[in-house]
Amino acid sequence: MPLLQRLATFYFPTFGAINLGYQFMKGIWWKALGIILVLYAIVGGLLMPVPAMPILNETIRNTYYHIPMWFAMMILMTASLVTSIQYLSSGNLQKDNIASEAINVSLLMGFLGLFTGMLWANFTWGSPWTNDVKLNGTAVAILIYVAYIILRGSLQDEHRRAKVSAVYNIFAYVMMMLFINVIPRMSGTDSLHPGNGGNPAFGEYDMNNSMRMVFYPAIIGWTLVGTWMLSLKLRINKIENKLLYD
Amino acid sequence: MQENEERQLYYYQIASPQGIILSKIIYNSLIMFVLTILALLVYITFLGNPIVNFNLFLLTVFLGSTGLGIILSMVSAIASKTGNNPTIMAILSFPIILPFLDTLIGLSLNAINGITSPQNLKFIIVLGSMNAIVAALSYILFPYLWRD
Repeated sequence: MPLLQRLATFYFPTFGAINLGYQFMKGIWWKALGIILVLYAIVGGLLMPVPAMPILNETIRNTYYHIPMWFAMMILMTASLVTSIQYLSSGNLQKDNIASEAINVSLLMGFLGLFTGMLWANFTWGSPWTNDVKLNGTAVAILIYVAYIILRGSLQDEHRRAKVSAVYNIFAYVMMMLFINVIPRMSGTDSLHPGNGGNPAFGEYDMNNSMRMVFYPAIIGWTLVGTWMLSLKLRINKIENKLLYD
Repeated sequence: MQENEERQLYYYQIASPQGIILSKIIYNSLIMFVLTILALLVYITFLGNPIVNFNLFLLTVFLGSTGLGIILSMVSAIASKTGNNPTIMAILSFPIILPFLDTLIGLSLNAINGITSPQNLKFIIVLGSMNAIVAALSYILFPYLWRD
């Protein structure tokens, strides 16, 4: 039995829970919750009190818009990784469909995170793009996933495309985690991001409780909205397939 | 991984997929290492030797050639499934190689200038762990590509 299959059956019992979650999340309640949380984060993010910090000043409010994008991106990419592993151990094409659409949505989140970050950097660090390890790692990670889309486009046969892109997706996820989360923390001096390059993490000093009250709902809200986008894309694909084969 | 169909069929019959990817990795890493050492000798003979910390430089060459060998073996295995389209190989490997090369340049620069800083150890750890992770991934994932 291949190692991955053993991992899938024994070490990730959550796989079944994700399938259950799929049935559970058919209702409207979580979409409404996502919209309410995002609206709350946008309005509350602009109006709630924030700590007065030097250099950052009021741009600290970008925390509510910039960081949730990355959280949503990574959560969706993790979902894509899980469905890719499921595809490899089951051969179910629907899983491959979910994996690829999750990547599309998470790339949108990634680009939004990049743009909000560039805006922020323009006001605090003086230029939209600095030679920061984390910025370069992020750019490279997004390039890796763009290469995933190109790889899918270059394969015609459905099953072969599903298999090759699932293998590349697992590979890409590990590389993405290395480039965004590991290497910037390992490199000694040249990162401007909090929590990287020897800097203290953001939450330790700067984030007080009134900020957390907006920050965590923003993460949940954007993730739910991303999941909604994913489910819409999947439903469109389903309709297209039906029109194609009927 | 750019062999023709008949040879792949032959390999399929005589060896396990794990054996094939491991032998590919060892072969590619070795050839990269030997070529780099040869190039280094030629450069030293004709242009002189500016390297201060030679042991560190050799370690960098070793880590770099094994890393490139592993990453390119795996990526070319993926690219070969797209019908030997040469541009796919470049598109897939470019973003993965880039941070790896960046780390290698940093470490070799320190080796050439003879800078001893705690940063060097971090570079070595990053390179070594990246090699190990990519090798483990190739070992696990290659069987899925191989069965066709």
